[in-house]
Amino acid sequence: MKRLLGVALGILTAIGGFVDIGDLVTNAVVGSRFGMSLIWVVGVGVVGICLFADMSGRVAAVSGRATFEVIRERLGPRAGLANLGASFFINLMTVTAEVGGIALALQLVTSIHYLLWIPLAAFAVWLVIWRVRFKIMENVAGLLGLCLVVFGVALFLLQPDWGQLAGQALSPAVPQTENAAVYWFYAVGLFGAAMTPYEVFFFSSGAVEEGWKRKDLIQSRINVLAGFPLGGLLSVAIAGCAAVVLMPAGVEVTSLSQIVLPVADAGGKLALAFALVGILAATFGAALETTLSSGYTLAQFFGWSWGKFRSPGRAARFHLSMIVCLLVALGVLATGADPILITEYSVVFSAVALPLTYLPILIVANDPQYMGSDVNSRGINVAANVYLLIILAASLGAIPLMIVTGAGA
Amino acid sequence: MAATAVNQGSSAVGTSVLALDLLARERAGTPAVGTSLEDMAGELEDARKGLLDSVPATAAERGLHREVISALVRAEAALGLARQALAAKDSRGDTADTPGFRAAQTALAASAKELKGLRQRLGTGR
Amino acid sequence: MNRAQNAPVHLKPAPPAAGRVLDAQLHLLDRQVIDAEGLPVTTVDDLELEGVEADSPMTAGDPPPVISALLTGPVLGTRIFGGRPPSSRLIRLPWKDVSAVDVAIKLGVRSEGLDAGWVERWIRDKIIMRIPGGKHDPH
Repeated sequence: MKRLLGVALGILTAIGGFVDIGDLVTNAVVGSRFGMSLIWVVGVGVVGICLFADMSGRVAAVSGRATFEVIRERLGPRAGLANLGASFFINLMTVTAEVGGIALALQLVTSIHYLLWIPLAAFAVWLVIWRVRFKIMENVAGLLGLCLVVFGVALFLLQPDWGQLAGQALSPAVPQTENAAVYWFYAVGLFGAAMTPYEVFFFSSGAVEEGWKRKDLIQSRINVLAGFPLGGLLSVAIAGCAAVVLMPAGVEVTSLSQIVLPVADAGGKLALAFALVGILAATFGAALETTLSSGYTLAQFFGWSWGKFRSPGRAARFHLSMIVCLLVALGVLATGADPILITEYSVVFSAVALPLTYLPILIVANDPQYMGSDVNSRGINVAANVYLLIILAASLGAIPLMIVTGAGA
Repeated sequence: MAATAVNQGSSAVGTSVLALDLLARERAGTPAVGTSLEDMAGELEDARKGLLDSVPATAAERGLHREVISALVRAEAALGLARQALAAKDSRGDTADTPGFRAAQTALAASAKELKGLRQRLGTGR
Repeated sequence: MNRAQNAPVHLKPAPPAAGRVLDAQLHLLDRQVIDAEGLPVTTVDDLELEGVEADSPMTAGDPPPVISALLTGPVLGTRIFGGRPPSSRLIRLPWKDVSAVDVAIKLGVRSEGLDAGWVERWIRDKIIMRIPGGKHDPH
């Protein structure tokens, strides 16, 4: 019984934890501009993140080594440092976007300008990292994030023409109001939002934090294989709401306040309240995960003591580095840089940097020295290599598409 | 350039119409609607400034620019009315059924129609 | 360790050795170092060898070099960008403190007294412990 509860809790937190500011914004933008015609990318991204999380979780549980320890060992200091630099920079950008997202959500609740909320949001993120136990932190954020299910409910309440939505989703075509380069630019962005690298740093370091062993692998696999696809459905619902309400009105999403309007339209104030709680929980949870991930990546590369299972005094550099990251995010946001714009760039750069972490994990997951008999099975390897090609294509295509389309303008 | 600005303006006005409509039907509260209107005021200003920064090449283009800019200015005025009405509602506890609100809704609807017409004429510029 | 310059021209098979054979590149460099209490200390940034002259080729009869210490700290920069730091600036973990070489390198001593732990200790004592809750154990 207890085990069953554990599995249920794991799946629920995986669902609630899947969506972050990147998924929210990108899906709503795409829904409002392309209808359901880019939804197939969410499917591709979800399968990818399941594969990636499965491999990195297995590496962490079997070898006890987290992602960046492995990356440095395998790539050596020079390529490892280049990898760290790129991954850390994108992660920091994501921290900034998530903290900005918390503040924007608070503005929607209180109508107090988001810039005033930013210091409080950053402080709250730090305080939770400083004091709250890893498990509690994960479960509370994940469960509250489930409030986002209201986007799915809203989609039903809106009583859309399901045939038309399904038609857009199943036979995708570039809408007449858009051109093909912009379509593919957002395809890359949506892929990057679904497969953000921080999820993998966090997932594998979390496996070490929680002391996973081989026997926990089955449960982790269930969490991933059930939780992430259901989380992906939430993303689809967000896009669907935008496609049904905003697209016909000629509205193209550029702010968080537009994303929740369809929910209010469908379900009134109560639904809106759920959506806001869900967005707050999702951005706050992701702010915790990305901040921790920046500490994890640095500490693992340089061999510092790390982990929330230790008191801050026994992981001093780890905690200091996270404080510095939050201060940098605070500084960037204080300049008035638009958090939504930062989010849009962060998902695209996530796609650019993805091969840097994917490839080493794929190699180590096939290395019997680390993995013993738990190396990738043949089936996983076939899928993982197909995804390597997809990830490389998205990574190489991202910057040219960004330049050609003026970042999707 | 003009097409991009029309697109952006049309999106902002469409959002404002929707937000005011939700307020009138009591489906969303003042904080969410107020934030929407504030964000959209920023969008309209962006659109107008973006257009002012570009230099039209031909006389026909110059005429078009002037036309779009005046449409955007009208949209900003309509949005201003809506924000005033919202502020009045907030401070006096009015319902959403005051003359001020109805005037704002009418002005925004007219703006939406005007920008939609321009959008159909110019395309999205993509 | 700039291996390319110092590599001998002809490699003879290594003489049979007692115990396990370790490849410095594969099993030592860039590995995590853990102290006697299981606390991560650092990563092996470089190795210090004794009984070998830098930049002079080794001949077959020479006695094999011996690892005297694991190095850490700024020496990492020299592995990335080249160059050689002055010997006085190296932070050493003496090889005699190493108790086991596995997926991580284990030390037989606590990190508290090690030179390699000074940055961590300084940040802990000057910053982290001064914030309320710094000693708070999460469990």
